[in-house]
Amino acid sequence: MSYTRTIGLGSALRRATFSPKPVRNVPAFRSVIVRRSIQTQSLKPEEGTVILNTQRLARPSSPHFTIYQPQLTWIGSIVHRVTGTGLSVLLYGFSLAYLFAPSTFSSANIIEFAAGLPEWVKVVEKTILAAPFAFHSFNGLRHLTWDTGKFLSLKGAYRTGYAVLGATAITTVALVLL
Amino acid sequence: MFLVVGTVNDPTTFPPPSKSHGSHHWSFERLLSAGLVPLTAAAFVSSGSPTPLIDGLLGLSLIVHSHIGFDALLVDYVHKRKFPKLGPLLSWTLRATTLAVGVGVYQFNTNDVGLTELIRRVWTA
Repeated sequence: MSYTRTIGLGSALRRATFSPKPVRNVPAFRSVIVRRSIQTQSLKPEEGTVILNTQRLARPSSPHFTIYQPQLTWIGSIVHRVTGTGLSVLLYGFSLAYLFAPSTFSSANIIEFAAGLPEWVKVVEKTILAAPFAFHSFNGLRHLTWDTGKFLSLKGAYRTGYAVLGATAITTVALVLL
Repeated sequence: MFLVVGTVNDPTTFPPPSKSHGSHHWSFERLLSAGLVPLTAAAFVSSGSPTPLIDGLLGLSLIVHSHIGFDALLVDYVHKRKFPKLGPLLSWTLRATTLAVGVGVYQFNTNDVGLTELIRRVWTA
């Protein structure tokens, strides 16, 4: 500020700034003003959509699982899907293996292999098979009762959820001990 | 690739009606799921019988149940709306796989001991 005053430009700048528009806009003056460096481009609406969609793809996705408190409601839901998928993958895997290599995956071979496993591996593997089976079965029944319109409340969801967990635990132990 | 068809202000299109989807499809899924419970119990009780009809029925039901489950995964995570090439490709791969699995289970149930008996024997091996 004091700079302009010492040089004596203060009054000249003030005059240029506050002078009426026509005076500032004289053609001779305009050529002195630096041209804007930003270029605009005219686009068709479709091209605009393409740019918009490209931007959407580059958008960061917001965190979903990690921002929620782990709760019986949604954990039970995703575990139902995971256990069901696991059991189905086992069925599909075995059936395809038998289809393409019937002698390798014959019942005699599988039983012989299972019998040769150490006792603790048998217990672990039975648990890995029994727990998802029990959970998916009981939770499936829970879903079927929901489909009839019963227990469709927060309290109902929790009560049936804990019932499923209890039944799963008991059944898993019983199946492993079988 | 279009995430939004038209502009952002256009409504989404309504899916075309199909007889194999909707309420009948839904009821069939529930009936199948509910049926699996007595079927599984019956299959283990009658396991080892000379006419393994229930074992075969259980195998078929489990395959259809699994197919519906896998299909639900594809619809949820690899929908053709978002994956125009991969979505249909995986759907057809699933259909082919399910057919092959059906043949595999049929072979195992006719030439070997059958699914239920296999589980029963491996469990006590």
